[in-house]
Amino acid sequence: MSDLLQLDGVSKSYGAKRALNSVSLTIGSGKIVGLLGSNGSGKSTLMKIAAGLIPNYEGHVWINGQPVGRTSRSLTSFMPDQPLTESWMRVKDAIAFYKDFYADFDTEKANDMLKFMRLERDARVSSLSKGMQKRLQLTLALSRNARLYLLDEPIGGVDPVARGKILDAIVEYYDENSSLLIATHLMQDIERIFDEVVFLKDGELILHEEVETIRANNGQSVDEKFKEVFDDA
Amino acid sequence: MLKLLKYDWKHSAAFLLGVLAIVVIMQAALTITALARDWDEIVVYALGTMIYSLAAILTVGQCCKNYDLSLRDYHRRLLPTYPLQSVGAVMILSLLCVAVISIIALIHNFIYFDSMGRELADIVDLESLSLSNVLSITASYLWSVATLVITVLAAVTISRSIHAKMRVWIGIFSFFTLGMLLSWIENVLFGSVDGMFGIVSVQMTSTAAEGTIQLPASLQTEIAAGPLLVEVVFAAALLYLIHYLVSKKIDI
Repeated sequence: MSDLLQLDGVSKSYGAKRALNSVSLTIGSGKIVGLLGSNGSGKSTLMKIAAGLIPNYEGHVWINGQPVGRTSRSLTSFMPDQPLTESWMRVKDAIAFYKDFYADFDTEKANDMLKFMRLERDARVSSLSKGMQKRLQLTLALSRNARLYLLDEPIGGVDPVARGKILDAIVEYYDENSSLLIATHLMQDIERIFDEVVFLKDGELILHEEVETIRANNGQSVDEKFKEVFDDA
Repeated sequence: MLKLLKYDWKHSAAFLLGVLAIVVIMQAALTITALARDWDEIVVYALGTMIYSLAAILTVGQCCKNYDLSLRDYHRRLLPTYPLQSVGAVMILSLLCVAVISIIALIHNFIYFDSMGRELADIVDLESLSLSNVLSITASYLWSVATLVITVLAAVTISRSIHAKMRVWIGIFSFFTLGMLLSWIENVLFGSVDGMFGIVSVQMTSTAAEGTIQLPASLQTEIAAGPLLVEVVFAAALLYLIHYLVSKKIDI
């Protein structure tokens, strides 16, 4: 099984604040990995470095053997916690934008996902609710046939109905040949889909384990393990 | 790059078309008011030129704002494109905006001169207005706009690469510093040359006494190879700086 994402001694500081401290991590293909940590633990920073949005860091990052850059951006599909659209766009314009720039964008899959997510093609992006915005973001990110998907807080700030729909979509439309890294601090609903979890605390990697191993060795759910690790702070 | 241009246009179309519509309305209002109140034609010409210049600044400013957006918005930074493709898209849109405004201004001036009973032949000796002269002046004009846009984009990139509250001021300072640096280099290397219009030396000569010009005057242009070379090297250096900063230094 080849490594899709490799981080070697990655550190990042914002002024005096150390957001990531010498993080080394390897994620193979065909995995759904939860990147877990409390607010400010460095999850988003790690995601953005892997997505190529933060070029100024220490250490090395490879995506499918390629150093992070223009080429790796064509292999990586990132759903940030910020809009991926412009205010003038309708849903169909956002789909056209992705189709124009990403050779791996699957329009048929996008149309299926729009129906699944109950998104209207003619709806104005600016008029969508937060939950619907998240559904659109996920549609755009997962409609690419990328090797690595990076989802930053895909269920953060949305109601339980939208949350369920988003999780169903991830399971339904995820390509098993690629890998999925999901950053979140909301474990209860999402832990059922993880193969592995990575715990980040104050910018440091403190645990990288298979979910089955956590359950078998400790008899704990990921949520319980998370509370044990982070309540200790 | 053309795809980026397409989305830059879609993003700014409402603003750019709005500016053009306002320019046309303002020029019509100016002409009607000037005719009704019998204003001096120099005043009307100066005000008209000011409106066109302001429109050009606003449209180029909007294009540069698109570039700033491409540096800070996730969906733009995630695209598998080279940083200079964004610069190219902004450059083309800026030049198109300036060209459209200039063409409107030229047509307006021809109509205005015609309505005043004047012809181009009253100002310039038409025999000296060769295709090469017209092309030289047009190329110099567009090159000046291109150099200005590259300088603005370099200043925007510098300001985005600095994590400080003062970064807007650092960007403004960078813009003026880069502009003055280019002027200083050209001045040191070539001194000040009379009649320089960008990279073209424009001379209007007539049979009048020295120091005055009697219209129609004869027009001669000459490409100034030295300043052109310096400006090409300067622009290339700024483009390299932009590429380096976007690729290595600008975080989101």
